[in-house]
Parts: sequence; C-alpha cells; structure tokens
Amino acid sequence: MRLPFFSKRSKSVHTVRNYEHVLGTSLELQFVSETASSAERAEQVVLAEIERLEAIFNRYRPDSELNRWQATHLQWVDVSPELAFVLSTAEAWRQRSSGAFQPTVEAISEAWRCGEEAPEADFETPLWDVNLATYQAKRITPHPASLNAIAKGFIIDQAAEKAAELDGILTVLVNIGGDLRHVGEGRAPVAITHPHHDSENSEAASKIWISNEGLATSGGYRRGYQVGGQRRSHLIDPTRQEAANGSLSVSVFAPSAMLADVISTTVSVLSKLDTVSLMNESPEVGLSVIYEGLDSFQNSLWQNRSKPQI
Amino acid sequence: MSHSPKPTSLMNSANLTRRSLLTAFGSLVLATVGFGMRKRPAAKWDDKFECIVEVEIAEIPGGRVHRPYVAIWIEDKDGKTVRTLNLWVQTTRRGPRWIPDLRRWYRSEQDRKTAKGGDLVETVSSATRQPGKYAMVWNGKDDQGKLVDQGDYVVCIEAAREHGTYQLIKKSINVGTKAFKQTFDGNVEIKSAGVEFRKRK
Repeated sequence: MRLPFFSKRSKSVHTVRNYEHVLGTSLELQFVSETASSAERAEQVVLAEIERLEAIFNRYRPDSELNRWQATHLQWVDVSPELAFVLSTAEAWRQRSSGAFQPTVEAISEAWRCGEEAPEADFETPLWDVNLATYQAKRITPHPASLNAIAKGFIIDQAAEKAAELDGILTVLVNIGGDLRHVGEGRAPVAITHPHHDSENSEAASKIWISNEGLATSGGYRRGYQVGGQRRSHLIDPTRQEAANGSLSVSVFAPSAMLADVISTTVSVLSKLDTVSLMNESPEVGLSVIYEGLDSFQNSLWQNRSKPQI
Repeated sequence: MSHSPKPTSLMNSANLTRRSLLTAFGSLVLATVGFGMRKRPAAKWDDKFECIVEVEIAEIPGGRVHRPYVAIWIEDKDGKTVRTLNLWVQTTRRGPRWIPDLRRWYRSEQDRKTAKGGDLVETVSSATRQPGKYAMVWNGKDDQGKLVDQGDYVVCIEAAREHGTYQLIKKSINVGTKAFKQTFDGNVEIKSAGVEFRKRK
C-alpha cells in the first residue's frame, strides 16, 4: 500500500531545459509536472511569454513598445497594461530609494559604453506619470530610460506564473541569466555564485532555498565598461554618477522576481546604513551582500534559510 | 689441441668482462633511478595555481538556441580520465538516452548516476551571465580529491546536440609553475574554447 504522497510523487516528471541567447543571456527552465507532455506545453508557454514581453521592453529593438513610447514627450499616450505597471513600479521605487534606483542611469551608462565622461543629468524631477486606471503614461524626463533592472524580473514572474496555471504543472522554475522565480509546490534550492570564483563548478558563496518567491543577484563581476583603461562596474550609483564599487555581489529574495531585481540593483549602490533602513521597511525580503575584501552581510531572513560557504 | 683452451679462456674473459660491464651498467642505471626517485619526486600541482577551462557555445542565427549537452574532463597522457569538470545532460526521464551521445564520457563513466528524478535540481543565481559563455575551474585535484602531479594533461570538451552534431576537442596542456593561456579551435557546437593556467585569485 502506498501513501498518497508517494503515489503522487512517483507519477511526477522533472524536466530541465537550457537555452542560450534569451534576453541577451541564458535561460534555465525546470518543471515538475504530472506528465512529460504538460511540461512541454509549459515550456512553450514560457518561451512565448518571454517573446511577447520582450517586444514591449527591449531597449535594443527600435520597434519595442518602450522605445516607441520614448519617442513621445510630455503627452499622455495609451500603453499596454504591462508597460504601465512596470513604469509605475519603477518610478515608485525611484522615489522610495531617493534616486538610488534610477532608470535614466542609462544616459551615463551609454556615455561609458562609448568611453566618454558622463553627461550632467537631472535626477530630481519625476521621470513620468502613469495612470493605471486608463493605461496611459506621460513621459517627463528628456533622458532615455531603460527598464532592464526591473523588466527582466517582471518577465520572469509573468512567464513562471503563466506556466504554473497550466493543468498538470506542479512546480515551475524560470531562471534568466541568474535571476529566477519559483512558483508551485516545494522549494527551489539555489546556489549563489562567489564573485571571485564564478566558474560553473566553483564552490558557491552560499546556498539557500526559495518557495513561491523570486531571487536576483546584482554584481559587476561579469560585465563592465572600460573608461580610460579602468574597468567600471555596470552598476552605477545615480546619486553620485559613478560606479558602485562597495559591493561585489548583492542577492535578494522577495515575493516576486521583479522586486528581487529592483532591490538587488538598488542595494548595489546604497551605503550599508541606507541598506539597513531599506531592509527594515521590507519584512518579506531576504538580503545577502558580499563586499570588497569579502566581508559579507546577511539579514536574519536570509540567515534563517542559508548555509554560508565562505 | 693445445690451442683449444686459449679461445675458451679468451671467451671466458670476454664473457666475464661483458657480465661485469652489464652489472656495472645495471647498478649505474639503478643508482640513477634511485637517485632520481630520492632527489626529484614528480612535483605535485602547485596549489597556488588553478586551471580555467572556458567554453563558448556556438551561436545560431535567429537568436534562441538549445544548449548542447557538454562534458568537460581532463585526461592524463595515457588517456585515463583524471577529473570530470562538467557535465550537462538532461535530467528528465528522457535524459539518459542522450548520455550515450557523449561517447567518450559514457564509456568511462557508465556507472555514475546523473539523473535525480523528482524534485528540482539546484539552480544558480549570479550577476547576469554572458549568453553561451561558461568557465570551469580545475583546481589540480583528481576525482578522488587528490592533488595530481605536474606534467602533461589533455583537456577534453565534448558536445552533442539533439538533431545536431557530435564534436570533440582534445588538446594537450603542460602544467608546471608558469601561468599560460591557450586557445583551441572551435567547431559547429563550440564556437571557441581555451584554458588559462593562472595564480588562484
């Protein structure tokens, strides 16, 4: 005689799929499903949802909805619910973080990419106004904005949630380039890459689990620009207009991948003091920061779940 | 008849001479080997160094692409597997079907279990990775965790793709106490690969 738990488990199928060149990085999908065919359906749903949302948010596609909207200025324009939601969340976090989270940071980022010194930018005025009832948005800032630090998390959430709604799907894990979301039964075990030892088979900095949450890591150790021969992090402190060099790696788990994405980017440029006060306002958020010299900080929520390796 | 002992004695003396020479030579050889073994044991891998194996998956025009199944391991110069660094296979029930595609790995590692059914396998969170670029580190230890000797090794990178091709890169490296970089030619599945032997960070 089998216990119901085991009979259910014995029937479930675990599927892993890996892709390259999705949103400019890699994609890992995992499903626990009742049948192999339901996992195949879920995989197609995830891929289709990523493509649909990429057409809205991709900064490198001239025809993306974001870029078409950015061609407008100081006028109310109809936008998709997705763009309205992400624009509104981005502006709310810009205000909440006193400009540490800053979508127009790309003005600096683009100058760096060309190897030039950064232009003066006004980071004080609101970037845009969004009406979530009518799905309209008015662009106020003259600077180009990128929603990369928030849209990727949003896309991960949407894709994972859509797949989890399908019949026969018990668990979904969507990991895009190191930011991820778990939806469904059980837990997702996650290894956090060590910023100094980022090979695939290197010892992790720490190990943790999430359940029905998102997790994101920000760090300058894989990307950066050369300005005058000096390598700079791709994470920029908008309030000082310079690279955020205090932290090597910031990992955050939160109720959604979008939140984890925003908070990890924000903490990358915040002082330790500001980080502590931000975390005090965010009771459902786990945080782990590895600073230069490999000092590390973990809030209690993170500590309760993790096995530190360093 | 009186001559007969002469050649014999000559022969004997020649034999003796040859034997004593061989003995002398033999002990010299033994002495040299013994000396070598005592004074110069094969040097172990310098623990201050590590070897990074980098692989870039080939891009296919049109964007999104399945990651091929890749195995990366190190052999000694006799072709014996010293260390398996990486293995990507499907972990579904359909997975094992694809392991035989990684022919060399399958031959030497048939017994090893790779698929864990049931729950999710560990995933990785990191700063955003570059698409298709992966690095594996070899810390100089074999699969049993013992530090290997300095000397010649072969880096093996095997890739197979469903409905695609089978590719194998095998390149010799010499591990000593000097940092070096070596680039390998790519193939249809692996755009480029290389090793960097460097001081540990």
